[in-house]
Amino acid sequence: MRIRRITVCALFSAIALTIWVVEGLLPPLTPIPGIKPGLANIVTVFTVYYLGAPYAAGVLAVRLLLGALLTGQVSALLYGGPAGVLALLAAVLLKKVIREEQLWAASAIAAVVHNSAQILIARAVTGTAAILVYWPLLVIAGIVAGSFTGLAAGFALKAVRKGSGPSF
Amino acid sequence: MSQKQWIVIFAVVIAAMAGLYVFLTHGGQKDGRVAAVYSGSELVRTVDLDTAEDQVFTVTDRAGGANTVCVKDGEIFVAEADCPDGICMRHGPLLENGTPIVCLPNRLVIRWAQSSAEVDN
Repeated sequence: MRIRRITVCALFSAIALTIWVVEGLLPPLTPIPGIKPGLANIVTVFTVYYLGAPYAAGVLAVRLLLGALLTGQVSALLYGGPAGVLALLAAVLLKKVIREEQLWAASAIAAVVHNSAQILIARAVTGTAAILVYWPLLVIAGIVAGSFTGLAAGFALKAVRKGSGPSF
Repeated sequence: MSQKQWIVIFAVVIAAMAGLYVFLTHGGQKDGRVAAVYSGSELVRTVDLDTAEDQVFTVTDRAGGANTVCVKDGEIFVAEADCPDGICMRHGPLLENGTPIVCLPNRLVIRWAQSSAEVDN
């Protein structure tokens, strides 16, 4: 069923990309750099738990690269690229210890990893340690946004596991 | 771990981070009200807000991104920027116990100068 899985991955990539682009069009929620709802990660977290790490990596890579190309925001790739890869790594590892019923917690921790990596990259790019005062706020935002996207992914997963969705 | 335990852990982390944030923004000795404007790691200029006249200047990143910085009535803020999110403009003026003004796409940082060496430059 490999072809079916790849096709589903393409579909997930398209959904993630759409969510990411639309979210980027909305005005920022806070005047704090690096804080976003990150709704596209509903798809990423879902894919990690549903299809596994290699497929999730594919979905993430497609979203990051095509997202930067579509919007022309190369800086988004610079800050969000390495952070996204680290967060995925965290989610894949957390999947081994956190059950599916509690995947919102894994999602929250992955979001904190993402935001922490992002502020460290920003510190390196700007060369200014002073911006690290934003780190506590980014951790809080990561917990809130990650829990929310994780909950949403959990609900989607529950629906699919129940058999109301197609099986892959 | 149960759902409740996770909620408690996250609540504790959030409280700790809120405390850390207050500690970080209220600590540190500042030399008067001197703002330092950085483009990347390069100090572009310092502005003593107590004595500076009202002025407008543009900081251009080496990649071409531009931010228009405004000094008015002893306050410094970003008036205009060509970055996609405009977070630097939404930040408003640099506050006494506040966060630095940051424009990540254009690598601009405006913060309080911390050492007298920085002020001399």
